[in-house]
Amino acid sequence: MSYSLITSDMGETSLYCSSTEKFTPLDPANSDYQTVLDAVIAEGAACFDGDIPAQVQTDADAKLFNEQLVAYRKAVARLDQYIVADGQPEIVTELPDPTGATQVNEETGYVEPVMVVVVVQKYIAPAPTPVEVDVWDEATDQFVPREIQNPLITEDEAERAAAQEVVDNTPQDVKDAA
Amino acid sequence: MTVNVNKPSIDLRNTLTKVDKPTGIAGEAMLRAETPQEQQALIGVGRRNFIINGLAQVSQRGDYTSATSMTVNNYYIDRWKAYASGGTNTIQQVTSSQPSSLAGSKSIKILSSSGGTIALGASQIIEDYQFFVGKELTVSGWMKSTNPNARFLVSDNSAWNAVGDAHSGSGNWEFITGTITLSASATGLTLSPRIATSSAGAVSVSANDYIEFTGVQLELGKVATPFEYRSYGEELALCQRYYYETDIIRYLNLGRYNNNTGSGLAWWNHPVYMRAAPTMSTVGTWNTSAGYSGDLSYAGISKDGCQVNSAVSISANQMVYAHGASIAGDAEL
Repeated sequence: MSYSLITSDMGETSLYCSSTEKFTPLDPANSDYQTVLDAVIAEGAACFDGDIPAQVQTDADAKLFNEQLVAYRKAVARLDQYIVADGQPEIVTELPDPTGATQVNEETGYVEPVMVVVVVQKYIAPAPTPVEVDVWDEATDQFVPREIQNPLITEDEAERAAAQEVVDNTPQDVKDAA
Repeated sequence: MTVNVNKPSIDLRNTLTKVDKPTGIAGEAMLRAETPQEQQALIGVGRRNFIINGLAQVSQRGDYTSATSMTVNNYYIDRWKAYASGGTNTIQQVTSSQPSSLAGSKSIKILSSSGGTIALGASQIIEDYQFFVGKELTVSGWMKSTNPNARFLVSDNSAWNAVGDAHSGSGNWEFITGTITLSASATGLTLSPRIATSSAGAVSVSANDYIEFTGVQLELGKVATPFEYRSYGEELALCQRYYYETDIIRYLNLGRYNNNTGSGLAWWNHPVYMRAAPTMSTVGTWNTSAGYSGDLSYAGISKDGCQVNSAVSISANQMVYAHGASIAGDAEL
């Protein structure tokens, strides 16, 4: 795709695409304009004949920022999940009884709420690994047991690595806005 | 003291007979409704169908009554965006062998020439999705397929979910309906008749497997009401909010005011107020002979019109004709 800014002799503008011969308004609600912004993000000035118009560059920067912000938040949320290989410890805390029950503190003489123990994080056992699976053995023409890393752990590690890569590659100004 | 009380006699036997009067499920639902709004929803009066071109009647972009090679994410029959995750596929506007209850309708048939492990169908993105956020919506429509994974899917811009049962794959018309609640966090709404898993994943598709659909309706509530017919004129106007294409223009006057030379100019009005400022293009070729405009360019595009400029320069107080091509505006989602 190669775009150029068309300006009529009455000062009206549009973006002309030489490969599709279409004229696109500089309107973020127009889906073709979003395609132009994607091209600017991916290719920079290479997709434009001449300089990128200031408004287009501003809109492309804003779109990139928002996309990175969404990806960063999603990646951080993924990394906050427990590690499947490690499991998750139980965490409990004491909170006032939700029924509002009270009792007299014999030491202070004050009326205080009855405290109850509440589980705020459930215990999850570490995923067992290695696990045994049956694999077809062509030499013996039968299934034979093999030990492999638990696929749940493999999937978790891959997703965490991908999320960490997103976090590492996110510009600081985007992280600051998250 | 004696008190005499009179009261009208009651024919108890007759009254009990009336209590036993059969009302049916719909009648009981009407009696149970607590507000006129609930009763209106049960009857299904007023404008209900949020799907545009549900009968596949409008096809401004061209004649697709023969099977046409399909490009993913392109529009062919109005408002329906073609989708395939792979393979070689065709799209067709079918005009015969329609469901008997929709006689006179047309349908969209999408066929996989190659087969493969793919997902295949079409989508309609709903502009006014806000009306559905957090609410129950019902999808209904006629579907024909040779694959038992043809179904209606709904996306909230985050995930796809199946609505209703899948088609049996019998190759006959079947009426499919289902209800789903759009999530409260939905940022969009797309309906897609598609051969796919219940989460829009690829499935095994044989060569020449197809999905065909018509009479598609998307409405608020949990009841599939009868299909809402709209006239062709109404349906065309609704489609033109997203895309329009004129017939061949004979004489569009492009003039120059009395100050200086330059392009011939005119203000072009879209046929309807469009969803967004549209992408403008020419379909065909403009006459380039003397006195004619040559290729037009479009600028200052807004939702209700744009400036049209001739390729040729003319003197003050002169004009040229734009002649021999069509003008298209595209504001699809």
